[in-house]
Amino acid sequence: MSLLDVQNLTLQFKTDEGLVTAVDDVSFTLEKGEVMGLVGESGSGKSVTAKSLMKLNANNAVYGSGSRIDLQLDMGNSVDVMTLNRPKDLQLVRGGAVSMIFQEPMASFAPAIPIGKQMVEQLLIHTDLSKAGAKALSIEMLDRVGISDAATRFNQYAFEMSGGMRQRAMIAMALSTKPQLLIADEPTTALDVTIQAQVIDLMKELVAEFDMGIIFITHDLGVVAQTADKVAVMYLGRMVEQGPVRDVIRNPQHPYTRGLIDALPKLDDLDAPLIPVPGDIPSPLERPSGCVFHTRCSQSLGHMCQTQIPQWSHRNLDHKCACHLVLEGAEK
Amino acid sequence: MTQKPLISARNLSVSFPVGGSVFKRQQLKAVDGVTLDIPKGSFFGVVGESGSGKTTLGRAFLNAVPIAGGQATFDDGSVQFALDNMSASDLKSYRRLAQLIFQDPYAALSPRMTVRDIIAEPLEVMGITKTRAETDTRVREIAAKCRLSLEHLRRFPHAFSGGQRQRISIARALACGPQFVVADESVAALDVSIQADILNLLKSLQQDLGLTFMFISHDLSVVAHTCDHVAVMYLGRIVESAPTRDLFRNPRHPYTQALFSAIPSLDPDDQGSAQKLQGEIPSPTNQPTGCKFHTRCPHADDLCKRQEPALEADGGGHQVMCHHWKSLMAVA
Ligand SMILES: Nc1ncnc2c1ncn2[C@@H]1O[C@H](COP(=O)(O)OP(=O)(O)OP(=O)(O)O)[C@@H](O)[C@H]1O
Ligand SMILES: Nc1ncnc2c1ncn2[C@@H]1O[C@H](COP(=O)(O)OP(=O)(O)OP(=O)(O)O)[C@@H](O)[C@H]1O
Ligand code: SF4
Ligand code: SF4
Ligand SMILES: [Mg+2]
Ligand SMILES: [Mg+2]
Repeated sequence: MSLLDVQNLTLQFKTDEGLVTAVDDVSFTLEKGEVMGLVGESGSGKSVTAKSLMKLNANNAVYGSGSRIDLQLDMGNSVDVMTLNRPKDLQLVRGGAVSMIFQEPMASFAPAIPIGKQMVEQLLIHTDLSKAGAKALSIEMLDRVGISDAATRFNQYAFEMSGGMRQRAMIAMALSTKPQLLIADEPTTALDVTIQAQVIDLMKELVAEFDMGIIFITHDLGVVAQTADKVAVMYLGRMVEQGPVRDVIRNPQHPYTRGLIDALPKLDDLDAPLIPVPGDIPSPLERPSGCVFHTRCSQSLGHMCQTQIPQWSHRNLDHKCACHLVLEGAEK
Repeated sequence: MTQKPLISARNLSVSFPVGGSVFKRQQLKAVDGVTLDIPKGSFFGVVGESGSGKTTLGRAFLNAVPIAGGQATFDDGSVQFALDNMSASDLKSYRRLAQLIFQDPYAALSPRMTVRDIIAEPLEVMGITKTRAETDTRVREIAAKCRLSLEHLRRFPHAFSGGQRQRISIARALACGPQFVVADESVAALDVSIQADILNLLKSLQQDLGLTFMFISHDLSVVAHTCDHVAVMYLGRIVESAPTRDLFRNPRHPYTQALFSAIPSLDPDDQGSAQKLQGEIPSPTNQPTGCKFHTRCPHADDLCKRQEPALEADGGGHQVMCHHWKSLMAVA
């Protein structure tokens, strides 16, 4: 069985203005040693989906009753994360079997405690290491993510570090517990590309060494191309395309995925204008009916797209897309 | 680029005290002898190693960190400021003219204020608008430019995703009508479509309002598409600086060359070209002698270890700080 099996994950937030749907019937699986890139519009629900895997969303979150998140633990038995409620049970996944590198590195370190101390505390909770052993491992991990003078940096506070160092310290902390599943939310956006290459190499090494599964959330399709085995594309809480990285990047099927690739600034043509996907993201309070992308899709088929949620159509065994146009094309 | 500089720096340095006890305190030179001119109306890019001092340099131009040595001036033709020697009343008028768009939209926005109040705050604090009605008009104008709806204005920032928050902080920074804007990793958190949109927006604001941007980014393809001129930083120094096309066509500094080669390719099968940097990343408190890049430079020799190269300029505005750039270019 898969390391991770997410079935029909649905998540709404209670807000003053009503229920906001952030994740809408999302399903995917991840194998051991596999890296999945998760891309999509800002606000499409990538971070919220990732946080659900540890049940880390804010208190106003309401999970759909049919949602299942089966996670395989190290002994071979598995657990449905959705059924965990007590803090003690949740510790099994939070920072234990699952580790997360947060999008907001400033928010993930307590400001008044040196970063090294926070790393050690986490290791003491989740491993059998002694204090000295935890310190040695923390310094080693800081060193491996390319932080010079790791022993000195160990005693520093988050505000004393540059954005990229904070990011790398966060990565070091998440990797130090050797989780089965690593969720990396925009882990390399604050890094220059030479360090990014080094961090990506480190992640690949760890995948191989510990058979870790990684969910890699990023806006950088180049990074996805270089790291991921497969890709999932989200738009307004729905997954609209999934498939092996080569298929999705070379043969994007969904109009939104194509829009994302067209919007990339290309280095070989500096005069080419940057073309955003036209139109505005609808408010999550006014989710479009039918295909959630229809308000911005230049290829919309009209009535059908406005009223019916498109089902998956398969381009091949692993590459699938939820779009009426693609489904029609396949049937013709 | 015959425009007069809006911002210029001569041998500018910024240091921070680091180290635990008062006795072991060292000075960390975050910006070390930088000389540079940012022409009025330009889109000036700054790239480089993480921790090389880009944010600190930007903050020095905003007068947000104490300047330890050298000079920096702001001169828009009608008002001048010596940034290394500002009175409290100078600082008050300068705040209106020079603004920052944050690197970390999470830390930047107060969770207890509505988006309307966040954008209105600088207008009220600086006394730019007199009545609530006037403030509201101004807020709506700038919000519309940053594509935030009226409904967004009533909400609190926690309910927004990273990309949406970044548009809020852009609106907030531009509300008071500044001339000089430091955009620090402002599009890093945005998906490529909104990124294209925001970059187009920033460019059109630059042209319409005659704004001058210092654009700090790790994304070299974004920089290539938006900036007129780019400076490359390494360990507190500017090691290369040139008009964008010139820099991307003919990078002269070995660090710049390594940086460009590490840009992740969109082709999953093209993994070979990154020139991996070996060697220790030096610590800013214990800097290498000679050329600061010599610990990682594939072309370093004895001269490089002994003597720091000077910043050499050619007639076309291309400057480089490397002993051997000419012979290296001849080989390539
Ligand atoms: N606590 C909350 N209360 C209400 N709405 C929320 C809350 N947290 C997130 N949301 C909403 O859920 C949606 C998905 O947000 P999420 O942060 O997952 O987006 P994302 O895909 O990670 O975007 P980005 O790329 O900008 O980080 C957004 O519309 C956001 O406004
Ligand atoms: N308040 C501070 N106290 C101590 N050291 C600091 C402080 N702010 C920055 N530094 C140090 O100054 C150096 C330059 O930091 P800066 O944030 O300017 O780098 P940067 O080029 O913006 O990096 P990044 O790309 O990672 O954001 C780093 O070594 C950093 O640790
Ligand atoms: S289902 Fe219709 S609206 Fe949606 S992406 Fe496909 S063509 Fe466009
Ligand atoms: S001066 Fe020497 S060490 Fe420095 S970049 Fe040039 S070749 Fe490399
Ligand atoms: Mg996110
Ligand atoms: Mg920075």
